[in-house]
Amino acid sequence: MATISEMRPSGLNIRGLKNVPGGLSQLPLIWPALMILGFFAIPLFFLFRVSLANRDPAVYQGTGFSLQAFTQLGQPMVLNAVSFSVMLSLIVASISMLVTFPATYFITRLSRRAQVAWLIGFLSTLALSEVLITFSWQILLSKKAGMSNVLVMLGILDESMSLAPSFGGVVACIIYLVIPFNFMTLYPGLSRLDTSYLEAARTLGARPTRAFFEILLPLMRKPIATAFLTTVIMTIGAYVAPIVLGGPANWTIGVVISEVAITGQNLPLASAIAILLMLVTAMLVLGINRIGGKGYVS
Amino acid sequence: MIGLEVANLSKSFGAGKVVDDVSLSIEDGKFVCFLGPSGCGKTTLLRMIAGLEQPTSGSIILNGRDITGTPTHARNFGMVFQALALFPHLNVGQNIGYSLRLRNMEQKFRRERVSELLDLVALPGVEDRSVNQLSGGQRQRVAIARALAQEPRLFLMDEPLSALDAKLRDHMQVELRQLQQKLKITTVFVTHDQREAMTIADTIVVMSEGKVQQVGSPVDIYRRPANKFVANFIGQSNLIDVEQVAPGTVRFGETTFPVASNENQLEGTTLCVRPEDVILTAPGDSASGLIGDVSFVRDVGSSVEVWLQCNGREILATASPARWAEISGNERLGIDFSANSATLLAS
Repeated sequence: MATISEMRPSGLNIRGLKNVPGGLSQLPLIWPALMILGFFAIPLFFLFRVSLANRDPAVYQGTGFSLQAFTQLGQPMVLNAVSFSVMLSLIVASISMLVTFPATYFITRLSRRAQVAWLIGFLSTLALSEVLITFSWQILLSKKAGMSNVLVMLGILDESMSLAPSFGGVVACIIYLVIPFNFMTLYPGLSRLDTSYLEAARTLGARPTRAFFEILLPLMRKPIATAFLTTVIMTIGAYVAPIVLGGPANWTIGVVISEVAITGQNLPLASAIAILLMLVTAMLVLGINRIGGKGYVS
Repeated sequence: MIGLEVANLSKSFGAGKVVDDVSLSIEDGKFVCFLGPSGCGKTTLLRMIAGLEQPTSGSIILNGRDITGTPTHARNFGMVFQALALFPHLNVGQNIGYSLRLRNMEQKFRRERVSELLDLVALPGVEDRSVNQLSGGQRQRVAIARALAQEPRLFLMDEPLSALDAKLRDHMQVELRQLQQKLKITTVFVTHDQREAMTIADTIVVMSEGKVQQVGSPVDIYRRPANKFVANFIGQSNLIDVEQVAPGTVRFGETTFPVASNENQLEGTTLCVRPEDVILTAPGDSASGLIGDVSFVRDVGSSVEVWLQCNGREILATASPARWAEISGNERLGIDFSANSATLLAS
């Protein structure tokens, strides 16, 4: 490809590709461009189109043009679900970071072989589907076969009890789902981290805990922000866990969208809520990215 | 006065013994260099002194107090790392002031001390710069200033100059030496570069395979190497197998001649002579009676290196250009060793 364009003076018209920098060498970019158009831009366009339609009992996707759906976004059901989703995702991301960051740090200090074993362990949980994991948690949280029986055996509880539906059950299950992703995001940065930073801090008089908070955490700011962000995005759209393990009080915006679309037969409103969700997510992304900064360890 | 004492220190990683029963004493205010090829255990020894590695056995004593179990952060030893390890999220002033902040020094005094230290390393006024904006030499200076900020009881450096280019490196060696003499701080420096060690150290500790081979001043080590390893590692030397026929008299091939020798090395059967101590003469003028055939000559300008074949051995000699001009016509040359320069080593 490159040789063809090199042979001709620049600016020559080759099969209609006029004055494109690099000429034919840009051709392979058409493939990803088509993919983005086909699988992202066109569906997004339909989403916008439907959100601007009038609800019509005869036509599922609605007809005509109006801002009717957007005016309904102010109702408590939608606003509560949005704020609940944001809160849930921030709580899940925070707890999962408290669990995963120290765990990943200790794993990167282990021998190569032990690290590989842990990596395989984490990655293999990704092979389980979200639905399977969620129903396993339902059993774990149930009265008859669940964890509460272990607590009874240990003498902590008097009799076994059902731990779901509950907010805690939803949080626990989603944390389980996101931990492998957090691990994979944090692992490269932590395993590449030059240990002499921490050693230098120790020779300067820093106790291990102080070196952890004042040197290690700031150096890992970017990977931590990226992992946090991934978790927030994954959790904000959570659907299965809130339905299976939560009550109506634990409905996320994803559940509300499906309720409105399927039970309420109101696709224009469901589309409008989805657009609201995208805007909220975009704001979270920008905010968290700003906190993450540019990063220090490449 | 003895400041730091290391007694029977050993360190094993798995089956391999990296540091093997090392005992040393380092006087207060001295500049000591651990010198050896890579993998000789010099860095591990330094890291044990710093508390970054726990010794498998043995003890470290500072001013009479056993500090073997003292954690690094409580030792107050300043250390400069090979990779420098300047904190990229802190600026120059914060890097240098970090140890002072850990000691809860007030901001005002901290700033004064930081600017004092930057003056000391000839880098004034860069407190607010990012460490990423500095050149290699400047980063070096900041790392040194950071390690000195806490007024450490011991100043440790792990090959800190290895990342610099040759010219800057020479310059930093001299500067580092002057700085140490000014502060009179006990310093331990690790390097694999013998020239660097000779330039900066009061005392050189030559190490190989986890063991100390020789401890002495640079001149000592160069002039009177304790064994073949030291003779080979420090500078160039001719190592010639000889037979001792009488105390202070050796035979090499058919020729017998006297050598100066350390009393305790009279058992030795390897003669060590530095190339510059080989005196070339016209064939008839040799006092020792050794004669060699010239096999290769390299004129490097300031001196001439001459390889000779003598009794089936290759001997390297360096001659001044003037001396070479007098004798260069000969294909065979007489070989003498200047007085007190040929040492006998144990084989």
